Amino acid sequence: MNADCLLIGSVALSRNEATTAFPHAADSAALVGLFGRVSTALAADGQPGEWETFELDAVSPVQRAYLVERGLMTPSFSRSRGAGRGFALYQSGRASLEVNGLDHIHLLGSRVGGHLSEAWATLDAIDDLVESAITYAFDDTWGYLTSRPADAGTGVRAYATVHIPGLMVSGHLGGVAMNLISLGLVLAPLWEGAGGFFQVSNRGCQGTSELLIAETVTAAANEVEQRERSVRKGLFREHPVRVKDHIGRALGVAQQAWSMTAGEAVSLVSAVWVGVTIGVVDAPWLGNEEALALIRRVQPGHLAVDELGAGHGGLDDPRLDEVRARILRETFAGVRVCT
Amino acid sequence: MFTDGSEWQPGTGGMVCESCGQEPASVHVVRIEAGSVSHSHLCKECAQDMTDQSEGASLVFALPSALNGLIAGAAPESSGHRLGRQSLVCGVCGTTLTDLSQSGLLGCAACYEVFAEYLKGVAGSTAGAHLGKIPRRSPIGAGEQREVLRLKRMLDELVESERFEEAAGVRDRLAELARDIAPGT
Repeated sequence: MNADCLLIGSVALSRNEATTAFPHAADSAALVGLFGRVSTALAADGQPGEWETFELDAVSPVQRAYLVERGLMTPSFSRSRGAGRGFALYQSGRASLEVNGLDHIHLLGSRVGGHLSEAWATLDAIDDLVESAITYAFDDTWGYLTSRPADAGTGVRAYATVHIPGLMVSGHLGGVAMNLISLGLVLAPLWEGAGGFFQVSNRGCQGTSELLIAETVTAAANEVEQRERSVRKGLFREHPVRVKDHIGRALGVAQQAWSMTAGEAVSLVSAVWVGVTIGVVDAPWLGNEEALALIRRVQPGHLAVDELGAGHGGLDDPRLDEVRARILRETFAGVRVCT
Repeated sequence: MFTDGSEWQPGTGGMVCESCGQEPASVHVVRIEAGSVSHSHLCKECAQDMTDQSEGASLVFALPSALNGLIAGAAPESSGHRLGRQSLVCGVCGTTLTDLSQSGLLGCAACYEVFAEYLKGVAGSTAGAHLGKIPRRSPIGAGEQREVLRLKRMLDELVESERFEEAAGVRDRLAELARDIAPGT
């Protein structure tokens, strides 16, 4: 993997219309009107079918979970409802657009194993398209104006996903988080920290440029990952039996369990994946993309849509835990810990 | 993927450190231990102490309070909008300083001017002009933004109170302004 490539690089971009109150302070008619203007602009863009537009209230909880798991919808927007809230998908998931969430416009783009600058380039072009429909709230000093003052400026939040279970179990994560804060960055957990997955992101959007934000977040994430590799080596060198025991037990559960929560599955896949990177588990096919795809596949929304299909019983369907365990049993069948 | 943590709303917890009770809380500390998650709002020193004491499988990480200093910081007495701290209100959207302190959210573009003194020192912000991308076409002036937002609010209130004749006049004025600032003009 190229040094600047990230496990997952995600970018979010916030914008507002100058002459409409921000969503939480605007009336429904204003929000419906804005969503209509944006929808019209998207429909006129590019090839037919390039954009799929939805009213959020028409998107089911399972579909919302699926979109959140793919990085195409934010968790907070997935909990929104009401007239004027809209959602649009670009090129089957290359990017997406939340309309009238925290801000009028919230563009999202993610790349697995890619660069933040690539995700930004896609959003930059969509941003220009949306601007053909609405006049952005902008101030020469503040930059783009947003509901949350901390987002004002570029309106860009860049997120680099890092897999750092070694730093987590060795108790170094607090120090890493405080160090990132001193650099103007934030460390926040994915899946409530299960499996040691976190995201490094910028906390301020002012007095900097979009590409500089991308570079800063990328550099910090790479440094954290480098420290993680060093800690993993140290742990394995100093405690080889404990490390092998932890990974071997995780593999055993993954191969034998018949019911499993999403959090447990993330932790197990994480442990086995670490085992592959340090040569403890013989599964060379489990690279970054494969591990991330497996973790996504066992999330509730994906299980409901892809595995249970039309007959699913929603996100509380008791069969989800059973299907999740089956997938891990099948995936790791025959995989062994190196002796 | 986007974390929920990235959308953490500041200002909902106490603004004083929950540990020492003395310093302003500037760091949101989230602790994951044995599968349970706890949240604390601490000053930098106490947050550092907590991370130093974190060992083994327990985990501590921290998010900065994005509105650090917003409420604690006093605006100069010369602020033109200021009748009293809690009575400060945006005349365009109706957002008050209390609303802002509770939700952490501004209500419209004009709020940036109204609450300017309180927004200095927002976490992550730096002094100086905007350095990133700028709108492709010239943004409309702050005065026009304010006027449109003000007229829209007035229109809503007039319709609500069934003063339709006056509302029609406001609507016509809005239409005039919209023609002037329409995209592509």
